[in-house]
Amino acid sequence: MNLSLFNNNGFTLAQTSQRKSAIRFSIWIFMATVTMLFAAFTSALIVRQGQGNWDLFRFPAIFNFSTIFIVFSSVTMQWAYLSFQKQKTKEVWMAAGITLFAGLVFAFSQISGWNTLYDSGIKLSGNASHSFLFLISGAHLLHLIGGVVLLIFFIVRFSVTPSFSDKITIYSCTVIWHFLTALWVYLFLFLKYYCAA
Amino acid sequence: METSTQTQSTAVHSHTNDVHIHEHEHHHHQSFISKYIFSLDHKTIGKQYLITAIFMAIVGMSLSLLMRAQLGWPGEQFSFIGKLLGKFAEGGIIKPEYYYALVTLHGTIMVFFVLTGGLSGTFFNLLIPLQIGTRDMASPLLNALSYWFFFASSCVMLSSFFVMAGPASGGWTIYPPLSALPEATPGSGTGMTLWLVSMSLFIASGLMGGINYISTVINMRTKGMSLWKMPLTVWSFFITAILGVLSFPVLFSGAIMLVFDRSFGTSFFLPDGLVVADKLLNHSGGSPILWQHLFWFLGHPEVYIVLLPAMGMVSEILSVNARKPIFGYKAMVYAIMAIGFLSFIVWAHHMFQSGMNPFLGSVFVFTTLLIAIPSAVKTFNWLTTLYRSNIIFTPAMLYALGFVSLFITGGITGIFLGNAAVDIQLHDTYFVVAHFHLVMGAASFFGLFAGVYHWFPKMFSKMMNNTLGKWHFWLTIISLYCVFFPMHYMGMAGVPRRYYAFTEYEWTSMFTDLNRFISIWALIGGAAQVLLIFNFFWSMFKGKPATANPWKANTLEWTTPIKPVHGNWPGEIPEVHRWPYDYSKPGHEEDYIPQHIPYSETGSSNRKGDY
Ligand code: HEM
Ligand SMILES: [Cu+2]
Repeated sequence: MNLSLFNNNGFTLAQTSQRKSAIRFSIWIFMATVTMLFAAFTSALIVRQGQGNWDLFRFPAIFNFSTIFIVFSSVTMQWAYLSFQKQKTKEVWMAAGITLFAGLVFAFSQISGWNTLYDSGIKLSGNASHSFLFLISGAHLLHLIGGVVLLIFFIVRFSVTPSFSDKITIYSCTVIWHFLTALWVYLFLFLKYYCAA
Repeated sequence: METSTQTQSTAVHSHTNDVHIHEHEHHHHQSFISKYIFSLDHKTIGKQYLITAIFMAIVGMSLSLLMRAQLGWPGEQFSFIGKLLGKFAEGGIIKPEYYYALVTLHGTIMVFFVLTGGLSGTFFNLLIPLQIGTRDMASPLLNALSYWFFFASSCVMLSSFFVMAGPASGGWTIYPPLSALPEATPGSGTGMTLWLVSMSLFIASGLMGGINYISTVINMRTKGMSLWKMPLTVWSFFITAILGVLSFPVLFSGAIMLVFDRSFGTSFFLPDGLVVADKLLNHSGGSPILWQHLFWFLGHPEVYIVLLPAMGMVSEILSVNARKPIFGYKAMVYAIMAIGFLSFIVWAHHMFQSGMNPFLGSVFVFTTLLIAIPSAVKTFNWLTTLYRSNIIFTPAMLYALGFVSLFITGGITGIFLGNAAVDIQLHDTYFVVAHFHLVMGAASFFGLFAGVYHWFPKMFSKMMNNTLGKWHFWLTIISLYCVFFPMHYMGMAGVPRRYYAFTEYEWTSMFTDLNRFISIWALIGGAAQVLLIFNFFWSMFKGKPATANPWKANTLEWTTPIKPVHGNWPGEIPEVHRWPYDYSKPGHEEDYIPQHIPYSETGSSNRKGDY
């Protein structure tokens, strides 16, 4: 039994190309589900905020940096994707590596932002506005870690067999990465608007 | 890996279009485990879902019979119930706390595990690939994972019967604070935790399945199978899957926030001033109503996730056995879409009495009543399909007809409930219980039954016994109506739902006889299900061998070999030339023309505009 997500067991040639578009399409549906998850979180925030007893607090500056970093990582991800299209092995390596690094920097700056908040007495179990900030940024970070794992998977496989035949993995990496960037930018502006003093 | 298989196949078949090359190496010595247990074949996965759902349905039904025992004979000592439930029913009388656990798990199991996971899992898996003409789902692995997550979530849900304090007991809608405070009731502790774990697994399973179904329908259809040539089954499965992937994440978000309230001291759903065991809690500022919004944003689409697949199968079965094209095919599709869309903007009709702004309420009254329009379109189209037809009364057809009856009876009461003012009297009474059991519970079960009787030959290459099927149908529908119809009267009189006993007040205790009547019919209906279970397993082994197309139907699944093969068609996948409803077409000598028959072979019946 072949346990690859994209295995070809039992499929004909004509169906193989159908399946490739199907897998690409699945990624978009997956992003729709994640969008609904965050749409629910943010609408819950609006409903809850409307009921009062809502504390506004100072945002740690580091969240600005993390936002810049994730936007930057999206640019390098796109670079990796384009280099892959042009079959430039070295550039793929470099761009994917930088993206991974920037992604990790983003993760650490989020965590250090939480630390700063905790130091100033803003805690998960505090006012609802505090809880929502940790909940929403935390949920985003978990998704980003998923993206990082996918990227590592791609990098490892690409270094073991530097082949350009599997376009789906890099495609999903890139699309998901951009999606998570856009999602964070939205969440950042949203949270700033509703929670920041 | 993908690349190697692919290059190999490219080398061998680079100039053929659709030659089947599947698994020269693995096919013949597939082990028992990879063939029946961890199978990646959509037909096997469908059967796994079905068997699991049958088991869960038996559990769910037994729970309801226990509740009916209490309601019909309150205070009566049933020694076997005492033995069965032990400390939860000392002396053979179910404890009040445990009654709520029964209510909760009955609802959860029936709604989510049987009619969502089981019904969709079985028929989407079996029928989508077979009816659109593909060898399997877009990702068979994801598909198998989806089943195993479902299996795990079923096990976790059932395991909550075996924890000390009993299962969750805040109702299938798990409203806070009962669900958010582990110390609130016995079931709010471990039982509730297990409920949340189980439902998270369930949602993961549903999303994996849903993503797969949608992209399979969009991308994997055989040549000629344009969207407008798809059977209504596939249409309804497709829209249902979309509803699922858009609404389940919202429930998930609520569940996560609930977990935070339970374990990490947040107050998303917990208001100020809650006192448990004489202790004032720290929580402050949360809103239990927020949970209701999140829950019902899933909850209402969920009722259509349960119902739409049944509608699709019923449309198909009605048309086949009426030997007539379905009336208004396109209207049926648009109605499914309209129902799907509207189901997202009506959720607050479950919250009319929660103290919401009456103006907002009236908006939801409007959207809610709009759903009656596409529902009526579907009902009229079923009736006009039947009009002047030559009905063949197979068990599947009886169930499809029963579905239409139940949908009408149960749907009409929805229009009463959808009026916020009328709902003041009816909310949280037995009227609601009657409404949703008829329109959702019973009707979807009828869709499930119809599907099982109709596609059993495709699943197990055997026929089910007709006589037993008919007995099963008549006993089931009579007992269903006897159980749920009287509940309308209790509800109009104001008898509240989810009560342990109605013995305290005169105006409720006057329904004691009626309650007993209902309980007796519930027992009869429950016993009748033995006929189905017996018929199902007996026919699997001893049934008459099936023929290739026993119902003379047009859809593609009946062009596959009687003994199912991996990859579905041993040769090429048939190409589709026509819609699936060419029944009794004038000029053709037979009363059906399957979808893969080209127009060039049916000159005598072709009409202008056919192609
Ligand atoms: C014309 C169509 C329908 C209308 C106008 C309608 C309206 C309503 C309303 C207003 C309620 C809330 C009553 C209350 O709690 O006071 C309700 C409850 C319910 N309806 Fe419907 N309904 C319709 C069709 C359906 C269908 C097709 C299904 C299922 C497939 C369904 C399943 C349910 C369920 C499960 C509940 C109760 C949930 C609970 O409180 O536990 N309804 N309906
Ligand atoms: Cu509803």
